Amino acid sequence: MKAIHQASLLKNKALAPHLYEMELLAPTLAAEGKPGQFVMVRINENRDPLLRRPFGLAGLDPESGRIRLIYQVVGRGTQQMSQWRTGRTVDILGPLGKGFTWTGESDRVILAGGGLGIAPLLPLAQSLRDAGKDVIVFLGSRSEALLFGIDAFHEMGCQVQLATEDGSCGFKGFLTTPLEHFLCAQALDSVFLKAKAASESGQGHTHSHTHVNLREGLAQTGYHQLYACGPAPFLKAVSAVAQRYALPSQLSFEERMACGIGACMGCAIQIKNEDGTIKTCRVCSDGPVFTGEEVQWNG
Amino acid sequence: MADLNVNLAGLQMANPVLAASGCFGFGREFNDFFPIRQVGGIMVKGLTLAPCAGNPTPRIAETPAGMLNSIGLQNPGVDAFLSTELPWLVQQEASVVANINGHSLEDFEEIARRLQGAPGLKAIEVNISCPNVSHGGMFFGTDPAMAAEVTRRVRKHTTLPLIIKLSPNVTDITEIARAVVSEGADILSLINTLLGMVIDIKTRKPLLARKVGGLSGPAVKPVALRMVWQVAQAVDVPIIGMGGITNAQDAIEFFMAGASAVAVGCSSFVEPMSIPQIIHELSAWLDQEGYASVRDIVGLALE
Ligand SMILES: Cc1cc2nc3c(=O)[nH]c(=O)nc-3n(C[C@H](O)[C@H](O)[C@H](O)COP(=O)(O)OP(=O)(O)OC[C@H]3O[C@@H](n4cnc5c(N)ncnc54)[C@H](O)[C@@H]3O)c2cc1C
Ligand SMILES: Cc1cc2nc3c(=O)[nH]c(=O)nc-3n(C[C@H](O)[C@H](O)[C@H](O)COP(=O)(O)O)c2cc1C
Ligand code: FES
Repeated sequence: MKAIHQASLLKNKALAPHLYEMELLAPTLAAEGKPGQFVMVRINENRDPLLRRPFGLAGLDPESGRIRLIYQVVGRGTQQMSQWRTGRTVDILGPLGKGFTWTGESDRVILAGGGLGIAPLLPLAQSLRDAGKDVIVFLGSRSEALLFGIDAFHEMGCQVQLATEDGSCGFKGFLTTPLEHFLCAQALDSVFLKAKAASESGQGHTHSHTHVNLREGLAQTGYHQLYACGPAPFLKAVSAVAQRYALPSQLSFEERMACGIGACMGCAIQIKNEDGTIKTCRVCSDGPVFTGEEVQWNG
Repeated sequence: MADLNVNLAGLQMANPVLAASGCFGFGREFNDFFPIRQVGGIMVKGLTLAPCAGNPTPRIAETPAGMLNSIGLQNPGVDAFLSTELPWLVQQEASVVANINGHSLEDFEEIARRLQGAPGLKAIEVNISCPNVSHGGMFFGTDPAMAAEVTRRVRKHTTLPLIIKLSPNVTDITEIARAVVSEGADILSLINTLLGMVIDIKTRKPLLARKVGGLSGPAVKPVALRMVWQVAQAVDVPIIGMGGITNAQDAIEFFMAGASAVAVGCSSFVEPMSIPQIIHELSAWLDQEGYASVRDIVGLALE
């Protein structure tokens, strides 16, 4: 149940210039929060800055009652947060929104995080690993200093691939390139193996490597779901790649929010109904996770 | 315990703290935090005749001690309100005020007609002051003749207490106040948001997709208070004061300026429990100061 929590600040440490990790003691939140959900943090008592700030849950540990947030200092609110000392009480509203979903199957999944969008993938990867899934994570950012969580993903037993725009780490360029390479290689491989098996059993006819085959090919590799979080242009690009391989995606969106609970209609997003008509949904309470198939991209 | 009951021209409420339109949805989200029947009156999200999808995003921009919004009246339309939202609200024993919006005079009339006789509806608030729509909206509230005409038309179709919500985006708000009262407004509510803007220096463009939006929050309180104080002296109908109220002290200032009730807007976004907290603090303050009723402090700051 969403509620206001008075959490005790246990840790507020710089990971890199302007990038901070915060740990809070909030047992109910830690127990009830799910990967993909977020919280709204109150900056101060005196209503200036007025609004709470939204942050994705970047860590959930029900046993110790701790939650983790990873945030970048970009403006007034996050600037003030970065000054907070441990021991302080932080007023947080949450857990908010609907998180990511997954099946009980022990199949293979792909995670893609852009910039601060890496944060909510951390608890997601943990839950997916706990569910017995094979997880490969693609992480992208402007430069190496802004990448985080790599060790944590490795420790969970995930494969990790990196991309930075300046080439300081991993592939130089956008994350969608290694992602597409990976999907293509997987799909080709499975199409190839199938063709080989068919020809060996004597009933072979040559496969032409059309796109349709690649789409079928990927499904046969056991990759059934992609999860992504990051800025809207990133999500749009990732979802376009996924759709080329008929790979279903769950995307976590950001939008400017006043209430975070579904009351103000500030955080609108256009979503396609099954009949093709468009409805306006709220990122905060109907999302922040939507499927790549249902989102109506503007511009 | 001080008496918090108020009766504004037939709008009877158990306490004088309302939820401002657009800042409380249709109550559902807040019912997760406290029983919404505790609110003196819920002014629901602005209704239009047909469902309305609202404006493109960004719709929200924070400003010093305030915020701009350009929601653009996203709502399910008056018929969905009547079939789903109102019955649910009534079931929660909430005291409901319908906030209505039109693109034309005929729209206002038609919505009022459809609301007439709706079970459980306590009053109609006519929003002639929405700055976030291109057709109608604030246009009706910035011209005294037009404001009077809207009031006259809605008055014909409703027997409920009629609230007219005034725009602060005018030179002389008392002129509009007098005009609508002369056509049968029972109650005035003020203020709606002040037109403003924010520019994002990174993109060199206005931050809001619609470029301009309505300012609310603590930043507007002095303006709102001054306008309530002016209107209270200009007309003889009860006033619902709003604009930047975040605590009981703010609310008390509005009562003293001449408001008979107050509404809490974007404070509920920051603190979902704002309204019950303000009611509680108000009651405590009245007791502490020895007032038997909240009605005893209305207009204390007027001559
Ligand atoms: C669901 C969700 C999850 C998020 N998770 C994270 C996270 O895990 N880590 C992280 O660093 N950031 C995250 N963000 C973005 C974060 O909310 C903003 O960076 C932060 O609000 C900026 O506040 P500020 O006062 O420093 O900036 P300012 O620019 O001074 O803020 C002014 C206003 O704009 C809003 N705003 C500014 N940038 C954004 C943005 N990108 N998205 C939404 N609102 C914004 C602020 O909330 C505030 O209301 C998330 C946003 C959403 C919607
Ligand atoms: C997000 C938002 C949506 C609003 N929607 C409406 C509306 O639909 N109809 C209306 O009459 N006023 C609307 N308002 C104005 C408020 O009811 C109120 O007049 C104004 O916000 C001032 O009060 P505040 O400073 O306490 O928020 C809206 C305000 C906000 C912030
Ligand atoms: S932020 Fe208010 S409805 Fe989503």
